[in-house]
Amino acid sequence: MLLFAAQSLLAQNSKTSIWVAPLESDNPSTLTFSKEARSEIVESFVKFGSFSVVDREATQLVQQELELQKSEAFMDGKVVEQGKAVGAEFIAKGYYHSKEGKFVLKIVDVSTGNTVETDEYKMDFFAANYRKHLRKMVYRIANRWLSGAKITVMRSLEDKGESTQRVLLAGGSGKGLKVGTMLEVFIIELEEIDGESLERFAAIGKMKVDRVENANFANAKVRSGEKEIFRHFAANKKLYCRIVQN
Amino acid sequence: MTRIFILLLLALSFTTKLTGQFVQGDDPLGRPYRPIVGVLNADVAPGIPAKVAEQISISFTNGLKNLGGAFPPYEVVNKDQLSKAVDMMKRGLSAQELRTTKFWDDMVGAQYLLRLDINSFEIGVDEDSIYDEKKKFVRVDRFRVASANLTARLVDVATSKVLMFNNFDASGTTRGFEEYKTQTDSARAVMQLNKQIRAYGNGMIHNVVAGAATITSIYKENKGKAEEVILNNAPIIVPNREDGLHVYAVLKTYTSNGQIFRDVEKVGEINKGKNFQISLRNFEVRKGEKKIAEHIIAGTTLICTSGGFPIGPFAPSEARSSLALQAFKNTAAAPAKVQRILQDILSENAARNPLLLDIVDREIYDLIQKEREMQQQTRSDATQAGISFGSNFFLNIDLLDFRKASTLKYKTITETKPVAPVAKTAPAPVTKSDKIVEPGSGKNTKLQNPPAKDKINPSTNSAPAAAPAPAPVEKITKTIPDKYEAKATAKLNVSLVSVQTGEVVFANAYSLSGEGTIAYNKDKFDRVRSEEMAFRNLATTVSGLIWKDIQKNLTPKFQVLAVIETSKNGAETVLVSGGLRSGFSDGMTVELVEIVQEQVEGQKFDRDVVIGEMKITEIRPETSVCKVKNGSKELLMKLDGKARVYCRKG
Repeated sequence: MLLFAAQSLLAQNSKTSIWVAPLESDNPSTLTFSKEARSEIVESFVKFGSFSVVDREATQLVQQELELQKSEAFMDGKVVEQGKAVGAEFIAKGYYHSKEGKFVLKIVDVSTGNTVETDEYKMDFFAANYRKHLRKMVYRIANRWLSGAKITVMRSLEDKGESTQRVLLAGGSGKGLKVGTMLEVFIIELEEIDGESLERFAAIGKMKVDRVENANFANAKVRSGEKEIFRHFAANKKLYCRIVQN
Repeated sequence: MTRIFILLLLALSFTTKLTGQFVQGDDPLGRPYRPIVGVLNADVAPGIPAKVAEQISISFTNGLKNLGGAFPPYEVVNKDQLSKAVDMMKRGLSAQELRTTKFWDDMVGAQYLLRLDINSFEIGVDEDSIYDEKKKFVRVDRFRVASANLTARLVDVATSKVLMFNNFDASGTTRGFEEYKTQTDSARAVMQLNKQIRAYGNGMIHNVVAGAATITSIYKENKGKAEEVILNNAPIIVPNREDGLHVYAVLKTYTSNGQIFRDVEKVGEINKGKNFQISLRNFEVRKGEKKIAEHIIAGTTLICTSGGFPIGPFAPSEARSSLALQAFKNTAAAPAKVQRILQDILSENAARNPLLLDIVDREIYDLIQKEREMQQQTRSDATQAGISFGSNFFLNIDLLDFRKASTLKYKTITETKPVAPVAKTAPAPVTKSDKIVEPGSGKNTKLQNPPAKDKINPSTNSAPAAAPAPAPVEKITKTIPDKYEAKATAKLNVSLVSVQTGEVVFANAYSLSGEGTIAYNKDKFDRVRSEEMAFRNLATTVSGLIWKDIQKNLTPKFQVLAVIETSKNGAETVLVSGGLRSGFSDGMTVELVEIVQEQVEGQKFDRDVVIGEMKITEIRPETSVCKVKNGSKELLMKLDGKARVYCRKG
């Protein structure tokens, strides 16, 4: 059966969902440019591979099509699943200060209203290379944002004696992993400080991604701490990793 | 015997009438062998005279009906009265009453609907400058020219799938000298335009809607070879005797998640031979006589079709994703014609790229629905109800900016012009001091300008006669118009959106330009033509790039259906879903992937585990054969364990 990777990828919401709001500017003449710039931001988030970018401009068309597919004419035909629309967890808001020639991009958490990431860059919307700068900006934000995220190390895929050689990670392109991404492996230890129990990420080794299976899973080769990782798996302890270089 | 045969024929004709003038075939959806194409009212852009639009529509329909003078393998009916007929039916007329109305012919259920969009129509005076060699003068020939931009789309009624989308230009001219002044000249130009439109319509849908038949038995056999076979529905599907039909053997049918995949192999060719009898439907076997005989004896279904397999828009398409065609936003407020043509060229490319996506129509969906309602009310068996294809994706396009401009470029030429001879002056009077030397007087006279030594012919010891001195000329440098150089630029925002989730699969902003050059011909249409050419080039480039991006972003997976050959190492060759329309190429390497589920913190996720590698060795219509390069043992084990194993382009 023919399946589209894109479809299966979309069906699994392991990615962070984001909506890029229409860009604002203090200069109305930048309307066309702001539309273009917004498209560039959307494109950059999509290309980064770790985000589900939702489209709200097309909502009406999506709804029309979904309604149409509920009709009798599609009874035995081919339809998409209803009620699977993805809600945006974050909103990317951009503002262009034309006088200062500065563009500010903020990521706002929909549930709390807090700004989780922000970046700004001096650029001219009328310059030929402004799209390149926008892309770099999105990638900077995305890398910063994702680098803090912890990824579960599922299990060992290959052991050599009492040392782990390769592992399975519960994170793939959806978590920003690429072939070559350097990861730090750690365990979570609880430390008592003034009667309060706090989490400490204790590093035990290093790994390098050597295969990205899909949006959800990747394989990594252990570069250091092979024996310690093996011991922790044997003791059924939870292992995590985080990006140190992407 | 004859009496029985007549009775059989009568019975057949009776059955035919009952089922609505056609015979049901082996099509998975029960389509007739001779499909019916309903032509809808043309969609006419504002400002085009109704009479002209009507003439264009009629010409195009006539073209569709006439396949190079032959009988086409489909029937064309006019749906002009469709709305009226549906309204009448809604007023409660019984089927019996409807049969007596003059609309009956128009109400035959159509499997396909065709709509012509008349996007533009222009009529004006054009001119050609012709240099008359004999008379040595430039003749300016003025004539009338009528041109139109048209779009023809063919949509499958049952599924709403777009089978053909064609945007084209047509023109007609009066070609006589000074034939531009009168109304008759205009009418003649329009007539010529219609003639060209009719020619374009002729055969345009032939390969898209051709029907099929099955071989029922061998009529003439010789040493295990089928020399002639009998078809169940032959006479109406082959337009010409010379046109052969491909014979496909359905080796096996696989059902996977409710989807049917026929493992089909082309086994031969047949055509109407000299001994063809309409009552027998006996066809000559041109190729594969032995194989065809073997398959008939083995009871294999043999399907004959004039086009490729699968027949029509079915088979694997049910499992494919589809994309809806919709009008795009025009923020740039570009002329309606520009938007229409850009949109149409994109749609045309989409319909011609069936490798990844089915294209469904939502622009004329209301008309498709009306046709279905009409078929339901007349209990027509033409279309299977309720099998519409829902769209998985649609393209969200916004035309942000559009500009076109042209400049007249000049060139500098140097012309030579003979200088008027200088008036001869009277010789100066001879004085005593002058010495006159007569040429050829035998005296040792010395040439004032002796020839160079190498120019002297040794045999004659003489130099060739000196060329007469060239006539004095004057060089004139002129700057004259050379060509029109035009440039069209556009900025578009494009995103592919998932209908199910509302997510953007890919987004891109395109900023492109197209160029056009037309030689200066003192013609007032030169400038327009150069801009038109630039725009067309731009539209083609944009459309091509968008399609390239769509293909890049949608990577399909194909299921391993069966193991064909095994060895001690495991599976050697396997059959996978996806054939001619899947984007496979011979020798292509694909990854073998097992889909397993993993539980992460209580949630289940799919994991694509690569278990090997394969090479495509044979591409069949709906399936392909692959040779396993590595992972043979594991593949066999996984398939035995009913694992979900797919292949994908690496």
